[in-house]
Amino acid sequence: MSKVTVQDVFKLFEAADLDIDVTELDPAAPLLEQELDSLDMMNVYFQIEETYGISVGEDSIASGDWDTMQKIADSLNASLSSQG
Amino acid sequence: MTIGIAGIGIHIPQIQDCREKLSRHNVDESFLENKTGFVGNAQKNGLATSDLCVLAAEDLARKRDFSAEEVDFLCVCTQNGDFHLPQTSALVHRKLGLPRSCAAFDISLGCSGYVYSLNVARAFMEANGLKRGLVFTADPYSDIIDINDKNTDLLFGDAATVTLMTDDPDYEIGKSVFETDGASAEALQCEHGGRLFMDGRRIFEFVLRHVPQSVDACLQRNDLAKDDITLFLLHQASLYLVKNAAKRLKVSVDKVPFVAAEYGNTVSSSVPLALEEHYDQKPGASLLLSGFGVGLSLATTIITRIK
Repeated sequence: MSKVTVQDVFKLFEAADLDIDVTELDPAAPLLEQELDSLDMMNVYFQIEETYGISVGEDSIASGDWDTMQKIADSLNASLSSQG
Repeated sequence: MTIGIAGIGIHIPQIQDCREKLSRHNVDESFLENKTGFVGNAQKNGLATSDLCVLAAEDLARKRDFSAEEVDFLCVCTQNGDFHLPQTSALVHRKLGLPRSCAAFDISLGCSGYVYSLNVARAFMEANGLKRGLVFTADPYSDIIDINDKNTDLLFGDAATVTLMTDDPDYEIGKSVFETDGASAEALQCEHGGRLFMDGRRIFEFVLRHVPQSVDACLQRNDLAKDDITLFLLHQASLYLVKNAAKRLKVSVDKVPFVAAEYGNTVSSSVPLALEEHYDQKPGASLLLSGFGVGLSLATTIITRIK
């Protein structure tokens, strides 16, 4: 599978249909400090699981591995490569 | 003899303004407006579950002509009854002065409870030739809420409903589908003497993944398509959940009403409260009812107006 890019993560957020202007999000900034809240993040994690078949664990959320769009791309690539 | 729905009585107790709780949860009004969707939570304020049922029955008596002596079936769907024992249905039976020949029992289910209760009532009544039944929902959570838990304190409201079931109904009940995920039971739990715990993320995933499938399966079982459904009356868990479920159902949000903004998530009462608000339909109109939550449990059915 080709590498997941930040642009792919933007598409994920658009697919999650979050009632926000996704194009205005800063990929490097923490999502919870932008327009999203914890419910929106549940929606994003659900979309990740539906799109990539990867379950986002509570531990990795707590450790901050998914809290920016760039980190989501990085975490997805790490998870996908570990799956072979 | 076909037993169906012949009327609904409701009781929504005093409303507490959710904005009064915002300071202790560090959220602003936009959280209420856009996420929970609840600006108020109904609070029973010392009333027992059986009292709420009696008040719902009084509302039904104002709307429909029925006498207590004719009632031959009664069930109460609750997990927060007056006592561990006796069953709350026996207390409602006493308070309403129903005859000794009336069957009475409780059904222990949460948010899926109304669809289950309709099915149990219809089957029980038809099997035994009973003709006038009362199906109550009353599951007040106000006594088990942790007021410091934002996940639940801003969501739940107390209420009761009663559905009159007769052999001369306004609505016939179609085929239903059921689903249980006992492996996730701890996602919504209250231990004896404890406070309610809710794992919002697991509930969210359960609903978005399984409710659309349940709706599709129910439509198929009733030989209907989404376009044949006038309204999809989903459990009013929260505005955010209802809106996202509607998106995943791929039906217009206009056909998936959110009616609980003033009083909160009332557990098994939320679907019959929504049905009561949209009760007046033209003959032939079909309404889909879906309840989901505690268990985790999911039940979906379709009712059709026949007169």
